[in-house]
Amino acid sequence: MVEATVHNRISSIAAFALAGAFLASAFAPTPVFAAERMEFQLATLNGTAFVKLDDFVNRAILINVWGTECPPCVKETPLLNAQSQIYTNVQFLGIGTDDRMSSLRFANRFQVHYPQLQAPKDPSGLLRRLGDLHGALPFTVVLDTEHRMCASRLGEVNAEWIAAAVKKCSAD
Amino acid sequence: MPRLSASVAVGAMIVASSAYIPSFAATPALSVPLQSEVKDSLGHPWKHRDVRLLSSDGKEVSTTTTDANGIARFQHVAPGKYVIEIPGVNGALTRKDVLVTSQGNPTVSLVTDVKPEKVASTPKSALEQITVTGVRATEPGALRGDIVMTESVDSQEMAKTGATSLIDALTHRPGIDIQVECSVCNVRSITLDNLPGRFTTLTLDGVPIFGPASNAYGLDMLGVNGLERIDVSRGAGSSLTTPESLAGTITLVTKVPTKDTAEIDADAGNFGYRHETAYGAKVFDWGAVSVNATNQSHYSVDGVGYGISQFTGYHRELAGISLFANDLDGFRIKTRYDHIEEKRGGGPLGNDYSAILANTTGNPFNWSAGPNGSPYSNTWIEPSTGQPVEPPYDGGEAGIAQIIFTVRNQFVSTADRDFDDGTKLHLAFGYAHHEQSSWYGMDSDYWDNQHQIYLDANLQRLLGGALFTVGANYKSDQLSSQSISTTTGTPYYGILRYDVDAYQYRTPGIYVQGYEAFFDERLEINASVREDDNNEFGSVTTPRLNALWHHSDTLSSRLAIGTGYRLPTSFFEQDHGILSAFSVDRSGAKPERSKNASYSLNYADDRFAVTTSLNYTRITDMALFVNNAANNFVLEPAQQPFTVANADIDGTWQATPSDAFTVGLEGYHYQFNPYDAYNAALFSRPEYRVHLSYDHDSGPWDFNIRSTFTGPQNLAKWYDYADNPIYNLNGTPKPDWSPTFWVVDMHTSYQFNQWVSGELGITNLTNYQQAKHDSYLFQDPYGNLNVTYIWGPNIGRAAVAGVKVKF
Repeated sequence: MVEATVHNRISSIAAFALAGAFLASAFAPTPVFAAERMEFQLATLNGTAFVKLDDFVNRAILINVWGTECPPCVKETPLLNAQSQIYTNVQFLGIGTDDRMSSLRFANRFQVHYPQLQAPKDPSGLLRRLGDLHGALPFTVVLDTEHRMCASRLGEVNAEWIAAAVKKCSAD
Repeated sequence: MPRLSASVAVGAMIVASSAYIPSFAATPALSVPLQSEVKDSLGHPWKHRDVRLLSSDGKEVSTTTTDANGIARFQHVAPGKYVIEIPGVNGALTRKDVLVTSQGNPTVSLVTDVKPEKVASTPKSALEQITVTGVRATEPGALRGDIVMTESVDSQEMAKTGATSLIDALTHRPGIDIQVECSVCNVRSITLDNLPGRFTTLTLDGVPIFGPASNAYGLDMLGVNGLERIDVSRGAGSSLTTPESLAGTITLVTKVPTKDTAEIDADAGNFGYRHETAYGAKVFDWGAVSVNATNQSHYSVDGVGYGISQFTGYHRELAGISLFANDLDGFRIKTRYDHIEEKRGGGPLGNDYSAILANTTGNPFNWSAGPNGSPYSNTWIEPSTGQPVEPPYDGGEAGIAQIIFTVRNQFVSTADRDFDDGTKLHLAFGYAHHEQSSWYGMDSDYWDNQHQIYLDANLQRLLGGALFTVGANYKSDQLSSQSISTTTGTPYYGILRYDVDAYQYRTPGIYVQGYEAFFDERLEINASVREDDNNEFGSVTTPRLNALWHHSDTLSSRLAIGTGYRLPTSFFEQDHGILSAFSVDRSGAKPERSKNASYSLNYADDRFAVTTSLNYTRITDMALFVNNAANNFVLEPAQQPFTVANADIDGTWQATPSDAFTVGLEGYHYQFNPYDAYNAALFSRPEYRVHLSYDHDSGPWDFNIRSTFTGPQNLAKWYDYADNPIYNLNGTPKPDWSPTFWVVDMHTSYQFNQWVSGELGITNLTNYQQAKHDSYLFQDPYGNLNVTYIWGPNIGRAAVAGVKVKF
């Protein structure tokens, strides 16, 4: 009797999983590795609010994804911090991929001026949508004013690249 | 007309990037270097200029800068069609189509109208800031590696839950469980998909140097200090280099330091718990050095008043050093050495082991305590007669003590080198020496020495669009032992014997794996086969196949089919009685074999992630250790297969910026012969489990609570009551099914400042203990006592508080 109940339970779970897989496969969109229009919703590092890209209407956005133990991230953060003060027409956002407390320490260490967000627990899906399919860091993306992918760079950025990207992506 | 030229050299290469690859990152996919030599019309190197690599549809893939010789390098480019673009002045662009393949060295010329004299030089400082020249991130590559990871626990998560050992880090997860196999010696193992714990293979940085002797008491000795993460690979199809992992593989990944660090962590709790760890790392130009040390102790615990522990006391010490070299003759080296010592004792309470072993007469225990206890404190009721067993217990503390001292030295080193033609060489070496001195009160005294050596070498190269891995490894596993029977009436009572429990296996193996992506890289296929040749059991072939389908950026499916085999090794821990037996016949032994099929579906967006999986595993020739009619032990294969089918689903929802909820469900269906389960010493497993977790992470506070509801366990079937009925000490039968129960753990931490945090943890919050419902003690119909009857938690509520200092 108990075994029969267990059989039924397992069958139900299996059926649910298979049905989910089928439906997901049938209706899932084609992969969009560089989305036409980007959107996400992430919590701020201090855990007080969610931030959406739609919060920055008609503004180009520079998104820098970083990790606390990533040497190029450490190296480029002061530059990004300074550039965020120069390119005031572009919204700079940082996304920390480590645990919140470590990321907060990192952001405080560099006195970062622009908003810092907390990546999902498994950030690989977000990074894939941003175009960083392998999840290597640092990764920087610039979205145009319509929040379409405009420029991206894997690895440390420099002032020239930021200048070119901002010019290209914020022109319209 | 000014003219620029570019020569493009293409070859297979596995990623050797200076980019940081975090733990969550997928293994970089196959890629090739792309090198361009850029010159102006006068033939001079075009220095310090940006060069862009665009996909065929015009999207930027990577940007790099030419060096002082006019060389621009794109380190990792997947085969395909690209455009190299050189921005000039006033918006002028020079472009050239490039076909990157894995074969040959095509040369591409670029022609531009840009006058070289109009090109301004880029400051050198800009070049120096570029550390990564680009990875074409169009291939997820999750199946490219030797081991396909299905779950991972990183150092952050370990810290959040207060985990101090491998065991702690893996609790409350669907498909993964900790199985206690001995109530007085606390042997524990990690079960994957509820398969027996001995079918889980443990590796350190991918090197399998844990065997049956070290696993018996070794898992508790593995701290998480200095680890970057723990990778879990469920299924026999998940590993190329560990074919013995019938259920899956657990890989401990050593943290590679990236900055100077010092950490001290000290905790204390009830039941005499103390835990101190230290970790330090220093980064140099050539690499890094890290050291770690752990000191941990716990009293033995009796929750019901028998005077016999349900939780084993211990004191363990660990010291380790790791060396990391970035470029030693082209090799990236990762080396680790650990020394671990542990003393543990269960049965009578306390840790004065000499006094316990010297106490050999009288009755220090209360056999009437606990549920269904005996009416008498000094003896119990024999079920077959209904009368008290005579004479009463007179074995003293030593009679039921299990005391084990272990010393372990382990060394692991891996070396990786990327060659200019794109070939990658991987070398691995591991050595472990495990010594055990043990006293099993009612059975025997036992000493063993286990030596394990592991060597592995493989090459990876891109051929015809597919990435091939070809390798060979050698594994030596040798166990020798001495033992003295302490069971009166056995043939060798009091006589020192050598190698009653011993084996010597030497297993060279070769393997090949192919990986390729199809349909615009939406489908990845990984197929492999390996052939091992063991000195005792001959050759064994184990194929596997993995397929990964990316439905979208947020949804993917994985199908895995694989086989594995495991050689029969030591069985002293399965039945200490073998050490007292007249003989142990291994002549009929066979390797245990598994066939496994798994399907999983994963969805993850910014706030919601869910994974569901279906798994089927069939074990044939499962090793049985049968005590035959002549009271001798025979190692023989099971006549019927042991199968486990399970489904699980695990979802996490980020409800608010600071609150996340996780729900997990897992259900199982088992098919096995109870005779096999009894003689293979399989422990009871539940029909289903439910997991609920809540995380709050805000301001300086971090709070989490994790709970698991364990469904009923068919004790009558798992323990083969039909052939081996067992009874309580009052003579009543043990229950056929275990009750259901919750286990709830919570942990909170507070960050006082940049360096100091405090933590408080409570495990088993509801204080559910099996011993309060159903005794670990049991007897056969004739009054013979045993101590390992397990289906629930063996220790009650425990609180731990501590402080962590991190610089």
